[in-house]
Amino acid sequence: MTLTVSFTINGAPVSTAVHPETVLADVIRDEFQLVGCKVGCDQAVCGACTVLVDRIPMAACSTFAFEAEGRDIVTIEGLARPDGTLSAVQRAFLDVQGFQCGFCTGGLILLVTALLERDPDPDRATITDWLGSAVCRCTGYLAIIEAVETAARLNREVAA
Amino acid sequence: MTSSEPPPLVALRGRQRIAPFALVRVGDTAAAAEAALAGAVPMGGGVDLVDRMKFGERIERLMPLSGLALGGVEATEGGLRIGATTTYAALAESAEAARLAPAFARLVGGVANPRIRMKGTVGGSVMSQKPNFDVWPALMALGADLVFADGDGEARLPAAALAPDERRLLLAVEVPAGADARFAFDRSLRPIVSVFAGREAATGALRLAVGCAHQRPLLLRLAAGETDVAAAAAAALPPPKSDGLASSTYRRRMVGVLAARLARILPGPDAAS
Repeated sequence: MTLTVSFTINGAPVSTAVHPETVLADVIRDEFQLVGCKVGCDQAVCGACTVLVDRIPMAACSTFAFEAEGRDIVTIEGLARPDGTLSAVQRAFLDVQGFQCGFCTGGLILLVTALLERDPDPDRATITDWLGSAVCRCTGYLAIIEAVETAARLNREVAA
Repeated sequence: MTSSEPPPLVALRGRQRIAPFALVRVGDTAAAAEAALAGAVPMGGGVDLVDRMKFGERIERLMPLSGLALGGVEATEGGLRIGATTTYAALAESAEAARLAPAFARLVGGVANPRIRMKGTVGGSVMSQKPNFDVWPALMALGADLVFADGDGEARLPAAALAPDERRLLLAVEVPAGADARFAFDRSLRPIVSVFAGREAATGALRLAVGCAHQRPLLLRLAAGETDVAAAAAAALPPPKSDGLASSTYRRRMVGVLAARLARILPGPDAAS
């Protein structure tokens, strides 16, 4: 049995047929070839598969595709402007080299994007609480924390 | 596949296959309650359920509760009513919860991480009956009720009386007025043990809900005036499990230690123990 699910992904309205047990990560990767959504632990722990669903960070590996019905999905591929200009969070991660292997980076950038939309100037405690949603085995997190603080500053400079 | 195409990556991703199931769509709470009694498995945020399905649990019929009016936090005459599909994040950020159950709200706001808290629901946490989850034992210690759909109305059940095979649809949980002021918890030894304590207003007895140590969380009750809370709690505890994290003996001892700490910070007749 399949069902048709309609949603927007990176601004484009789409419809696709899925089985009820299909998870969103499979649709994003296999149907739409948006492979920046990485599947790591496959248990909603590591955060590499994080996407924004109606601006809320969710683990695509453990979200059923049918849950996306009518919702707005953003993947890492949809964060930069159409002309290629990076978002402030992407820019900050690049500037401070807040990554090493990069496997977790897409999910982290989307997570931090959601954080800064809710709290434009988060303190260290808030940042570390949010970074608890993602696992990075390379950086030791200090560079990532610096990237979050840099992104917040870049956002403030744009707004000023 | 032509030779120019890259090989499929599936084998590299360690994906767990979820067994096929039928999706049960319902339009209102009454239909959901009926479907639940008929065997459809309700899904709140799915945080626990999807995990279990990935690890092989077969569910024939899955019923998502999103879209039903089962969320929200409201003050009632009796205390605080929390809808079953209220997320951890919504509860932690609720002004009513901050006013009427600040310690419980603080507990919920510290569980897991923001991504999980924005998807996981209070009802899902309770009904999973997982030993390591925090909401259900906290509700036991608070003396809270679980509110189930029951015919055309509601049925209330003390949180500690939840049966393993409960199939009725959970509508809400209700925290009694004033209970939060006599509630404390210690998760510092999680996932070995966690202890949630509440003081009964009428009797002064100590309710101790113990998580992580058995197949399901459980509730102990120590009479008011107990002079050695640590010994009494350890003695009253059914044999805890032994696993790679800790022995049964260690768990029993730590339940006593944490219970005594909590008793000291909760005002009551055995506060000096």
